[in-house]
Amino acid sequence: MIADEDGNKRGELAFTELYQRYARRIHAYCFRILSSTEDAEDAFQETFLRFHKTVKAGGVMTNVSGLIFTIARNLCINLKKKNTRWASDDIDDHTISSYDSTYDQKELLNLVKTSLELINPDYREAFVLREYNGFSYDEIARMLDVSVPTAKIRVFRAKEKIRKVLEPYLKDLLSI
Amino acid sequence: MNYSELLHDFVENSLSTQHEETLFQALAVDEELRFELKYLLTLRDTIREDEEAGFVPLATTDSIFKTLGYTAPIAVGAGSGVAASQIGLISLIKTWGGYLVASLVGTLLATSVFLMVDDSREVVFANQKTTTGDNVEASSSVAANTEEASNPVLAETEGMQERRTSVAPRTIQHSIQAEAPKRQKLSTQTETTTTTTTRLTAQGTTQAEPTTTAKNVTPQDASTDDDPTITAAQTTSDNSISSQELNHVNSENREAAAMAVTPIDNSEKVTEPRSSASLSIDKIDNSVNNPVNYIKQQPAPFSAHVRGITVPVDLETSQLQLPVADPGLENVALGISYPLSPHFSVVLEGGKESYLLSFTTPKDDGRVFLHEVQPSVIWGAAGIRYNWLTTSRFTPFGQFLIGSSEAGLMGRGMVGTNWSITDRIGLTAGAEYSLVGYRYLGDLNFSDRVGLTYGLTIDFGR
Repeated sequence: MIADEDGNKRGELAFTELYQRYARRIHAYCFRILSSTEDAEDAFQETFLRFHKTVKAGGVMTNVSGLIFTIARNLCINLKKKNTRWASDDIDDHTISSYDSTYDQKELLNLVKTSLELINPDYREAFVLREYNGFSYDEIARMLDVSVPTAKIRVFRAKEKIRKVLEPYLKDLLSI
Repeated sequence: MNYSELLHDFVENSLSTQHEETLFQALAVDEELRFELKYLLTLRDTIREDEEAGFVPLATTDSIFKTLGYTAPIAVGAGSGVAASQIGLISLIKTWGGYLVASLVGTLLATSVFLMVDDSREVVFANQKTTTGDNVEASSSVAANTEEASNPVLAETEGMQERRTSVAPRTIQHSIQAEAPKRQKLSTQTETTTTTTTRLTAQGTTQAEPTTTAKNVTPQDASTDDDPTITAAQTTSDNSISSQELNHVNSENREAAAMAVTPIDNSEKVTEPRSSASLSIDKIDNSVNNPVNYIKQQPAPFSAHVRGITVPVDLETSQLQLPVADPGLENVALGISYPLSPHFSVVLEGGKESYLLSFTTPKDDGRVFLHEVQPSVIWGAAGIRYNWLTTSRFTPFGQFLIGSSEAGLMGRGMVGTNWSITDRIGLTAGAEYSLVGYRYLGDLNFSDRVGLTYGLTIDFGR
C-alpha cells in the first residue's frame, strides 16, 4: 500500500492521505476510550507510528481501517492496564455531581462523556466504535473478536447504562 | 425483542417494516417509550456534535510527521477529517489566507498596471470632456477651471483670448522666472527677455506685450527686489557694476536667486483678469444635466455590485454526469470596486461556483481509475477593471482578477457593460471566463468554465 522502499514521494503522499482519512476517527476513539487526554494523545501518535512501521515492513492489506483500529485498540488497552484498572465498575455507585437546571448542547455532551467513563469498558468500546467511528456491527465484531449479536448487545447496553446515569437529568436534557 | 430494542434498531435505521408498525402503535400509547425515543435521538445528535473528540491538535500531527521525516499536511484535500476540525489561527489562515494573499496580489497587480499605463490622468480626463461634443466651449472652460483657472495660456476660446491681453504681464513674468536660472552672463539678459517675449507673441499674445514686458521688468513695478531678472535689468540700466562682478555674485547666489523668483507678488495685476475669468466660468452649466459635468463626476468613490452567472458552460465535461454538490447560492458573486482613475478600478470579488474536478489514479495492473467531483466552491479574487467612457450612460469594461478558491488558485476574465440607470444604480451584463487550478498527488490540473453574467451596481459616496 505504501511503497516507501526508496523513500519516494508517493509513499509519503499515501501515508498523508491515510492519515487525513483516519486521524479524526482514531483520535475520537482514543479520546473517548481513555479518560486521560495525555494517554489519548500518546495512543493516537503511537497508533500511526506503528501503522507506518507495519506497512513499511511489507505485506498486503485488505482492511486498512481494521488494521489501524486494531493497533489503536491494543495501545489503549495497554495504557489502561498500565495506568488504571481496566475493569468494570458498578454503574449504580456513580452519579454525576454537577447539576444545573439549564443545559446546552455542550453541557449535555459533557454529561455523556462523563457517563461513558462510568460504564463497562467493553460496552464503552463497542459504543464508541459504533457511535463515534460509525463502524458497522460486522466491523465491530471483527475488531473486538466477538459475534455480531454480541457487538450489537454491547452497544445497546451502553446506551441503557448511559441513560441510567443520566436518569435524574433526562427531563431537562430532553427539553433542549 | 422488546420495545427498547425495537427503538434502538429504529434509530439505527435497521428496523424492518413489520416491526416498525408494531413500534409505532406502541409509541402512540406509551409515553415512556416516546421519552426513550427522544433520549436515543438526543444522544445520537449530541455525539455527532462532539467535535472535540475528533479534533487532532496540529502539534500532534506535526510530531508524527516529523518523527517519520515527512512534511506535515497543510493543504488538505477533499474529504479530510483533520482539516475540517482545525481551529484557531492556523485554521483561520488556511481558510482565509488564500483569499487574503490573492487580494494583496490583485491589488498590487492593479496598482502596477495603473502606474504603468495611466500616467496622465488629468490629460485623459480633459480629452474625454472634449469628446462629448455638445459644448466644446464649455468643456475648454471647465478644463481651464479644473487645472488652473488663472492660467490664460490654456484658454482656447475667443473670449478668453481677449482677456489674455490684460493677463499678459503675469504671463511674461512667469516666463522670465523660468528663464532666470539659465542666465549666465549679464550681457545676454536683455536678449533673454526679448526671446521670451517673442515666444509669447508666437503663442498668440497681442502686440502690446513687448511694451508691457518692458514696463514689467523695471524695478518700479517689481514687487520684490529678490527677483534676479529685475536685478539684472536694473543693473543694465545703471551700469554701476561690471558684468564680471555681477556674474560672480550671480554664481554665488544662484541657488538663492532661483528660490527667490518664486515669491513674486502679482496679486494686484492678476486680480482683475482673474475676476474676469471667474465671471465667465460662473456662467457655465455646472448641473448634472450637463453631460460634461456628468462625466466629470465619474467615477463614484467606490461601487458595490452583485451579479449572477447564468448559462454557465463547463468546458470540462463530466464523464460520470455528476450532479452539483451544493446548488445553494450557486453562481453568485459579490464585489466592490474602487476607482484609481476614470479608466481603472481595483476590484475585489467573492462568490460561489461549481467546478468539475477530475483525478486519475493509475493502478499497478495498468488500469487507470477516474474520480470526479463537482463541488460548489467559494472563491475570492482581486484585480483590475478597465472602463471605456465612450458615452455618459453606458460604460463598457473589461476586468481581470486572480484569486483563490476552495479548490485551488483561480483566474477570472470578464467583458461587459454597465448601464447607469441613475446616478447611483446601474445594471451590468457581460460574459465571463474562469479557470481553477487544483493539485492532486503533485500534479497540477485545471478546470474552466464560461458563462453570461448580469447584475446590479450601486455607487456610494457620490
